[in-house]
Amino acid sequence: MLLSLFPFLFFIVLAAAGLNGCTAIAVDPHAGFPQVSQLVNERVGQEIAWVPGPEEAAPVPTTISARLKKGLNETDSVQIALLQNRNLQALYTRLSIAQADLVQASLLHNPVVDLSSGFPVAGGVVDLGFGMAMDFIDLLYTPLRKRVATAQFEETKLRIAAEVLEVVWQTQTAFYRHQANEQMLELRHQVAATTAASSELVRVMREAGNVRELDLASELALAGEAKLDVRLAEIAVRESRERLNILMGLWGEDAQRWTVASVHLPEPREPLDAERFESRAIERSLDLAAAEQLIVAAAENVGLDRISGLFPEVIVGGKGERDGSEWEPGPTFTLPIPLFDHGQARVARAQAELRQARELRSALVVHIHAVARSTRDRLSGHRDRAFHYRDTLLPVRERILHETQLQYNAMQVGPLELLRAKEQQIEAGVRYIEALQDYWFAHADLALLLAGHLPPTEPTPTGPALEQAPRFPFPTLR
Amino acid sequence: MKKTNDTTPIDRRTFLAGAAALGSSAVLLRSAQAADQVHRHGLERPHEPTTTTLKNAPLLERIDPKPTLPPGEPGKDYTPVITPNSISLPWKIVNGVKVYHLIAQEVEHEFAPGLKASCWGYNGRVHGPTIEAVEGDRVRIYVTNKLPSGTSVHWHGLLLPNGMDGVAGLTQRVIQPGETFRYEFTLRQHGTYMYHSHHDEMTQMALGAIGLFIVHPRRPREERPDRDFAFMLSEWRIDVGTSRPNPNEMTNFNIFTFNAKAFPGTEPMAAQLGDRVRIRIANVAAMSHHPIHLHGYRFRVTETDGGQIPQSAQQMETSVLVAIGQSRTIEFVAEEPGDWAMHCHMTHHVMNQMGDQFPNMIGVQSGDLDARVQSLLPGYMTMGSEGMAEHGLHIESGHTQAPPNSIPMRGGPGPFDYITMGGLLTLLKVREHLAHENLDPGWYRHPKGTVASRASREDLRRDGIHV
Repeated sequence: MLLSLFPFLFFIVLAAAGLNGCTAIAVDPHAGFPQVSQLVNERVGQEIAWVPGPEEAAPVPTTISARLKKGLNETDSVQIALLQNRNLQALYTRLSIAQADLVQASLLHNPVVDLSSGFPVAGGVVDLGFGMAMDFIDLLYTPLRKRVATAQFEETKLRIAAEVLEVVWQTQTAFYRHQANEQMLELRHQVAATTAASSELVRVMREAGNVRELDLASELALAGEAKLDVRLAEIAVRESRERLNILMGLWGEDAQRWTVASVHLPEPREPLDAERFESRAIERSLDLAAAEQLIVAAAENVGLDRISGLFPEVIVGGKGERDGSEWEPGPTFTLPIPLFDHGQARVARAQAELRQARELRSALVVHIHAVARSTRDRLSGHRDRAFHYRDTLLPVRERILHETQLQYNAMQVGPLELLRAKEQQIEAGVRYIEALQDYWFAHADLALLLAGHLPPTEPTPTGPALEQAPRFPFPTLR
Repeated sequence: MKKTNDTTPIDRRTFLAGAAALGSSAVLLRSAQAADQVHRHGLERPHEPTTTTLKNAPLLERIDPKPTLPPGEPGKDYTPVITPNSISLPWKIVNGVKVYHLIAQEVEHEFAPGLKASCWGYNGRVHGPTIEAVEGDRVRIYVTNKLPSGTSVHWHGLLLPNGMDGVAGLTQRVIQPGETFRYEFTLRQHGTYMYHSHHDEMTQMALGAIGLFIVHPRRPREERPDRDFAFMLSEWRIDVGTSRPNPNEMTNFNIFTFNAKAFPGTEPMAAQLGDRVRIRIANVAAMSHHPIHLHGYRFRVTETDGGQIPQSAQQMETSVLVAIGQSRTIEFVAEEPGDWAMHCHMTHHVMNQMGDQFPNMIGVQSGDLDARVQSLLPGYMTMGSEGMAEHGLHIESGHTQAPPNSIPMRGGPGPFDYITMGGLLTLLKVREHLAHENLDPGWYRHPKGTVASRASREDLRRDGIHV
């Protein structure tokens, strides 16, 4: 008798497995990475690598070692970061997680086997029961769940690509900062040498009996402050260097050895075609593409909730009972009656989430337009500022120094005035570097925006981007 | 030195000869009338009061009426003055009146080689040319204003009708740009006087609108000089590297001049041994009195701007203080040949464009500081730790680069060494024979054994000097 139940049950399970087998996804730990790699490559022209390795940092490959030895430029530092940054490796594991979720979503609920027995107190034969049931409607829901999970997986890939771009941005800005800091340190040394010379001069003038103790004390104070400025500049160099080490994933000797190829920030480039900034930023936005995937997911979720609200589960199965010595097989069918909860709350929630996703997408469009304009303006503003220093203020300071030297030669002004003129010339150089640095920060922001990701509002993040809260609050879907 | 603004003594002499010829022809033409005038009025000493109607007659001079005498002739009635670095203003005689024409205008003036500036002067010169006339002359002076501002001319020290005194606003209307005014009066006195703008005085005098006005005596009490030099002292502020005097300066003047020239731009006085030399010095500097010291001679102070000092009251001096607004005349006989300095004894007045903001570096031991600073400023060297003597020479030689158009602390070359003086310094060059009258005869050649030199060991031993 039981034998006659088996084919039926077997058929149900086989049919379900067959249907699922057509739609189920294989587990692939590297799934999604080629797409992310391609997205990054077409936007920054550099390679990324996923090296699932041991937990501890792997040794730096020889190609990178060679780059480190010859003095780093900005492109090198970005490439090294893309290959070595361990946070990126951690980031890529989110692809595995998302892909696992997708696989999970495509799997049917397992069939349930139910065994029962009854022992008559008054004696007699032991009653045995056997049942096997399966949530058959899962067959219907699985493709829907998979569509939600696929959209979520797509969104994950886009967001991971965006975060890789952000690491590129972080490395660029860290590199510019480090270059500027190195140059500032050089200039601070010069200011310190200038004030040291002037205080030394006043000291020998004091020794000759020609100036007051007050004059000497004032000069010593200036020289002392200039020395402190050197210390501060050294701290800044140390910090920006370590920031680059973090981003490039360097440690040990490699972290100590490298130098930058040039401490001079490059001059601003020709102005970019400002007209197309906004449309290009919109066209290329990974953030926007991710937001669209969230809308897709939310829309699929609404459909899923609408159906599953009516029929959350339909359990189909078969059972056999042994009554005495005879087996009594028969099918089972369980269906909850949507009398109170017919899924209306879940549908409403899903619909609200869909509306939320749509509104957030619209808000993002407004945001990208505005950031594109403000970044463009900031870029051209700092470019003008840097050129104004280069073309006007620096030459004027140079001329002032030259003329002061002539006046000094004519004994019309004293050596202290001459050294002050030198100091002011150096200070103008410091302000020029600040302007250049601001220009390159804005440049990196714009590059990031045009590569497809909104630049962080804080221009110099103190920690890796991955530790930061998302700037755009994407809703979390089930 | 002898460029646009300068005339060589020969030029001056040529000019004076011409002026004299012009004068004498006029005199010839009008000789009958003049003789008649002399006859009617007699040759009175115009500087002595003739009116006795006032109780305090000797002290209160009436100015008018006075007789006008026929125009005085150079060479005949007086020895023309030599205004080093300048000339006398040409004149002509019209109906017995000496007629002059002053044109107030902006002038590019060279103070000394290496320093030019836009100044205000007269007739293309700074200061204006010397007006020279004779006691009793009737003078008519036209003043044309080519300055961008109104002006007037005051005849400093001259006794004249009030309306001719030239004080803008007070005694006359301002001469507006483009206008020509006429001044006319009879000279009642002799001596060293001046003319200068008396409108916006601070600006116009600071920019150079001044000149000498020499009135020779009709009949001198004393012997006429063989050499009669005239100088006007003034001071300027010309910041190093600028090219216009700053009239707003009140105290820190950095260029001091004889006839608007700073040494080494000053033309020397040349005299022949035995010459009777007169030097007239007038001062309309803004703020500084100048004690002018002449080396090698004692001299008599013979005149103040008030007139001649009686011989019995003339003092023997080696320096004469010429205060602002004053003139002093000194006389001596050139009896010691040589190159003698004449200069203001205020030490900063014999220094060109000294920088008074420069700190006191005397005695400073700079050690390796120069090398350290040179890494920041390649052209740097510590200066002034032993004084400023070498500085002018360094700049002059181009060893040290100074701003263009400047002569900071520059002196001039001397026959033995660099002369570390500038500004109010000129030279009196007395020679046994002058090849060319009034021309610089070059450096004095000292007779053997008359120049201070390094003491020999033998000298030191002999005289028990231990060094």
